[in-house]
Parts: sequence; C-alpha cells; structure tokens
Amino acid sequence: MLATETKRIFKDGAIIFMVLAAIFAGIVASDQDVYLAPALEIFLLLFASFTGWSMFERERQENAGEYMLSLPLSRSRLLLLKFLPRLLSVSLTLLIYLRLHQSWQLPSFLSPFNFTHLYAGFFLLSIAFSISFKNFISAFFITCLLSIGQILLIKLLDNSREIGQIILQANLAILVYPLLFFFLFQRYDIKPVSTFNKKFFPGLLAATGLIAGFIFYQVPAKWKNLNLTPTGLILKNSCGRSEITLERGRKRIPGCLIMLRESEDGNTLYCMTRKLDGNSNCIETSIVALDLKTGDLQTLYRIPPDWSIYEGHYGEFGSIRNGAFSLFLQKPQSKKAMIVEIDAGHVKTFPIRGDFYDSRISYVLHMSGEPRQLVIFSEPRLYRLHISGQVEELAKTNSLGVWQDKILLFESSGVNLYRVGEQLIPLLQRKGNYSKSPRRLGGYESRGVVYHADRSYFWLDMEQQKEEKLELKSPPYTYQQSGDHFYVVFVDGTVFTIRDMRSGKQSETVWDPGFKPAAIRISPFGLLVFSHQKQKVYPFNN
Amino acid sequence: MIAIDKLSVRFGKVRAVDDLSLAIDKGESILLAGANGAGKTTLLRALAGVLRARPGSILYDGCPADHRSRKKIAYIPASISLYDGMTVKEAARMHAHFYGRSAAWTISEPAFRPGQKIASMSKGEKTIFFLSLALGAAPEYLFVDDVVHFLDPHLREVFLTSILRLIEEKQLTVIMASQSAFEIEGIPERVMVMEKGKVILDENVDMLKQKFIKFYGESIPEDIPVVFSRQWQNAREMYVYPYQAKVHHLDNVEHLNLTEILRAFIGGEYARH
Repeated sequence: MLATETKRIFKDGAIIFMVLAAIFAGIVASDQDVYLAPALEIFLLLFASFTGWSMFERERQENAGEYMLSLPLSRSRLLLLKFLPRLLSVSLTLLIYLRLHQSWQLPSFLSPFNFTHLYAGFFLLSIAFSISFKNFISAFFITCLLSIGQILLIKLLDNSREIGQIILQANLAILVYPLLFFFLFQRYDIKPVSTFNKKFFPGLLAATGLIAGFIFYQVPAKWKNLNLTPTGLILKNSCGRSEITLERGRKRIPGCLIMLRESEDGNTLYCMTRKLDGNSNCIETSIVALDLKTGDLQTLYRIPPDWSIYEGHYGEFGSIRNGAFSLFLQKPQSKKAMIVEIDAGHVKTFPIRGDFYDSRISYVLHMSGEPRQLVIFSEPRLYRLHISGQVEELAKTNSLGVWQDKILLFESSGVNLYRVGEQLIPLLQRKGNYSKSPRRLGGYESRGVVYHADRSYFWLDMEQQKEEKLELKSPPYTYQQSGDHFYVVFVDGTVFTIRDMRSGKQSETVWDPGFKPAAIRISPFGLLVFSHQKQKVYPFNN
Repeated sequence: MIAIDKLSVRFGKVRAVDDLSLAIDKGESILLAGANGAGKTTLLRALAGVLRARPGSILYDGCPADHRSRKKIAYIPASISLYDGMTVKEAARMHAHFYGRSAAWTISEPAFRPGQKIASMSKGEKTIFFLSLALGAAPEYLFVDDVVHFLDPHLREVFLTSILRLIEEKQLTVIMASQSAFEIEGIPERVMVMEKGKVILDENVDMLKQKFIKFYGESIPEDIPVVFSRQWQNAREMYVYPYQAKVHHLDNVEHLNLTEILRAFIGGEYARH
C-alpha cells in the first residue's frame, strides 16, 4: 500500500511538478527570477496542500472507501499508511527545493527556515480537510485562511514580532486541526461525509475560536507606563489594564494601576487606580494595596470625586511612618486639601482647615507627630503646611534632594543639607554657586545626590553626610544610590554607560538594550528601559 | 460464532438497525431478506466493521469486533468497492498483504489477466474477482450484500458453487443479503427477514416451509394466525404462520417455497392482517 500510495502521490502531483520544473527552468534561463522564485514557493505550498488533502481522494475517485474501511487495519494504522508516503513525498520535494535554493541562491519571500515551517503547516492543515472537502479548491482556500490568516492576524496585532516567530506560533496552533481530525477519524465509518462533518466543523470552529482568542490574549498590551519597584518587580499599565509579574506568575489586573509606594516590609505595593471619565481624562478612583506575594488586590480608600493626589514621583507618593501610609490630596475646584492616613486597613482623613490649593507641588514630606504638618516643595518655595491651614515659609530653592527626614536645598547662599523637624537643622553647608545635576527620569529618591559648580561635580551621601568629588567629563543622565553603591548613568543614543562607584572604587559597564527606549525608569533595583512592547532591566549588582 | 447484542445503527434520526440481538453459529448459512431500506446492508456493514454501531456490541468467537476480527471476515458489498485503478495483480497483492493468502481457495474461472485493470471489468466479473480475493484469504465469515442478481447464470453458478464448497469444507459462516431467494435457494439453511431495522422473522428454512401455508377462504378464521391476507378474485388468500394443525380441514391449503414465502413477507402487495 505504501508503494502504490507513493506512486499515486507523484502521479497526482505530476502537473504541479511540471509547473515547478517550468518555473525553475525560467529562473535559471531568464533574469526574471525575482518574480519567478516566489511563484516557486507558492506552487510548493500548493503541492504540500494538495498532497495532504488527497489522503482519501483515491478512495473517493475509485469507490474504494468501503473496501478500505473493511480492511483489517485499525483507523490509526490506516491513517499512518496514508500519511507516511505523503510525508515522504513532501519531505523529498522540500529537500530538493532547499538544495536548489542553496545552490542557485534563489530569491524568495521567506527564508528557507521560515518557508519550511509554512510548508509543513500547509501539509498538516490540509490533511485535516481530506475527508470534509470533496474539492481541493475549497480545502486550499480554508488552509490559506487558517494559516496565512492567522499569520496576518498576529502581525496585525503585534507588528513588532518577527515573521519567523509568527509562522512558528501559527504552525503550532495549526496542529490542533490535524489532531482533531485524527481524533475524529478513529470513529470514521461509511456513513455520509455530512455525519463526519457534523462533528468536525463544530470542532474546527471551536479550535479556531480558541486560537483566535489565544492570539488576542497573547497580544502585548500597548503599555503606557512601566515602573520598577525597589525589589525588581515591573508594574505595567495602560488605560484599561495593568500587569505585574510576581513569583507566582503574571498577574493581570483590570483598570489602570499607578504605583504609589512600597510598604516598609516590601510585601505590599500601595497603588492608586485610575479610569477615564467622559472627556477621556484620567480620574483617580481609589487607593489599593497589592499583595506582592499573592497578587491579591484590596481597596483601601475610594477617592471622592474631584479629589487628586498631589505628591512626587512614581514610587514616592506619600510617606510611610510607623506602618501608616499618608497621602496628600487636594480638590482644586473648592480649594480644599486633606491628609489621608491608612494604617492596617483603617482609613483616617485629616482635612486642612480653610482654603488651600497649590498646583505646583512636586514633593510632600509628611512630618510625624501631632498636630499634623507637611513640608511641601512647590518650586521655588519650600514651606510648612499645618493642619490648621497655616503656611510657614522655610526657604527658596530651585531644586532639592530628599532622603528620609533630610533635605538638600540649593539656595542662593550655597548647597545646604538640613534635617527637617520643628525647625530646619543645618547638617552640612557648602557656600558657592552650586546646581543640582538633574535626574532626567522619574524614579525613586536617591540617598546620593550629584551637584556641580562650573565643571566640578560632587557626590553627596545625605545619610552619611559625606561629600566626594567626581571625575565626570559630561553631565550624568541620571544617578541612583543603592546601598553603598552609587550609580551614575550616561546615555549616548541607545547605549548606556553605567558607572558603579563606592568610596575609592569605581567600575564602568556599557549596556545596550537593543532597542530605542521610549522611556526610562530607575529604582534602587536597577534601570528599566521600555518601549510600548519591549522592556529590559539593567539590575544594579548589589 | 457471532453474538450481536442490542445493536443499533442510526443515520440521524433514522434507526437503520434497531436494538437487534442475534446469535449466529459457526458454519451457518443465512439468507438476510427484507425490502429496500429494511436495514440489511447496514447490518452487514456493521458486522464487517465498515459502520460503527452504537449502542450495542458484536462479538466474534467471544471477542469484540475490531480490526483484528476483520481479518477473519470477507465482506462483499453491493457496490463492489475495490481500487478500480489497480490491476488484478496489484489488487491481489494488496489484499494478500492484509489478509494473507490461501492458494487452495482461489477461483480459477474466469481467469483474470494479471495486468487487467479492475476498472475494465464488468460488474459481474468484478464481483467474481472480489469473491476470488475474499475466498483466497480463507475467511471464517463471509458477508455478501445483494450482488448475486448482477451475475449471469454461469458466473452465478461459479459464485454459488465456490461458496457452497467453502461452507461444506471449511464450515464458513455465510450471511447473504437478498431481496429474493430465487437465485440462491439451496444455500441458506436459515432465513431472517428484516423490516425497519428489526428482524421480524428468524427461522430455519426447512422449518419455515413447514410452518408457512397459504389457504383460501371467505373470511379470516378467528383462531388461525393469519399474518397476511389479500383479496384474490372471489376468494381471500390467507397466509398462515406458524402453521397449525387445525388448518388441515380447510380446502386449498398450499405449502410454499422460500421465494413465495419471502414475497409474502416483503413483497408489499400483501396487507398484513
């Protein structure tokens, strides 16, 4: 049977072989190979599809179906006897093509590797239609629809994917159809084809639906923002959904989740949720706690309408003192402000008496003790806001650095480090015209700050109140202190140079993420670069 | 032995074989009769494994019917399904590959040329060739669908003689489906009549002939099991089954041959009483 089947396949495919030979002759003999070579690929796909589909064509033509089914063969063996000669013939044909492709350097749409995948997919997919479709055109049409259609769909939804990767994914999905066919063929008998199709087509539709669903599910969301936590987790968000990959796996969360601050033990990430209002503006809806072990999300406080959080950078919103998380909210329309404190799930609100509204707030330091008060930086003002509504001016500065209860102010007299308490207690003073080297991206508070006067750069560790001169040829792009290490980052195009400094020691690493980042985030864990669909993290080693 | 238990075959909402249970002994030769659509072909196809019967079961010598049991079965369908594009030699080689070959049982007449295409044969020749292939594999069970009427008298004799020889010498179990017994009378020892997927008559042929009579009368006697009757000129023809001694006193009692009995059951012109 194997021999007669093989003979039959080559006999049936004779016309396609002749066309293939003619195209090849045309490629060799003429200079039209740019047009003819892709035609060779198309006819090869046609051959693969025909060979797969023609599995039972002989029985149909020669009225031998009943005889075939009465043979003392299990359905699996019967299928194998039909499949093997076909596999042999399509493999042989493909090998010849690949050899010719290599020898003659034929131009082609697809690389030999990708073409092999597509060719195999066409062959296997067409097998699934060998009983259901009596004519090859219908089978070929559906094969193209399911195979190329799937490839186009993936490409359409995720343009960044490599074509080879897409073909491979599409082919893996396509395997569902021959497997479904194999499963149903175990019960195949002489009943009309419609009986077989009654089971096959619902299965086909279900499989197609599942594959399409999987494709849509797999499509990377067009993330609008990514943030790196101090422990190296990445929280991604778009307007409609958010995602974080925890130890237990990827957690998808409906809605837009914005990182506020991690708890002191690092087990909880406080976030706020946002949604679009009727005018397509983002409005803040609630404060939630995301359990970084389990991925559970707990709503802590529903933000009243028209109230907004006014704080610093992602990951640095509010402050945590003795386990209580405090946030500063304002209602611009009515010039009202309040402090919200969340302690072990209990929420307390402390309204600021009288009218208060400041639209330029870029940092809020929550002071401990009673009555409650805040130190607010609203360029160029640094002032203290009492719960009574009283405002006390503290200093004028264009920029500042903050580390826990310490503030580094760049004042007209020089650069001054203070401890913030009832008073500003000076810790370190440097007279001169110093400017803070800006950290050109959103990120966490850095214990170390870089500042310069003329072309001299200095690094100040606010915790240890230790200053060190830096040998820098150009201003840094950003910097971050992580433990005792201080990282200074320079950017040239898409290449990052990261200088790791400790007292008396330094080393430099060049890092190329391999794509042009749309944005960069930094945390004590490392550097995160990302575009809409790609992301890479450079972890700081310590 | 074949044991069929509660076998059903459905085509959509139609039950072609309906809850059928039967036992067929080794060496039995059975005529399976019935009108068109009665379920004969479906039953043979289910026995040959060409149709999947569900629910119900078929056991061959106590083993469930599967591809292994099909090796013992020769099934000749009414449509003579063979690979028409093959030559005689190719078909014989392929059949022998799957079933094995027993040289003693190859039909030598008519002789087929090895290079002859099956497509070039007449339906009668094809039938004899198929039988030759089937018997060449020394089957234990032979299921023949309604093919005998395709054969000319000579080929019919070849066909039937070959089957008879195998029944006698090898205890071949034969089930032949036919709408009439005319061509094959003498072969079956048991007859089954199917109607709407059910067996309505299952009897030894000799016993059936004894149990079935026809008589004439004006009205149907109340105590006689008349199964069919029809008005015939001035009198009424009545078919009695099973025949009872009390009919003896009646005039014009006739014993019928198998063909006539089957006509009574499946002819359609007789209204069942």
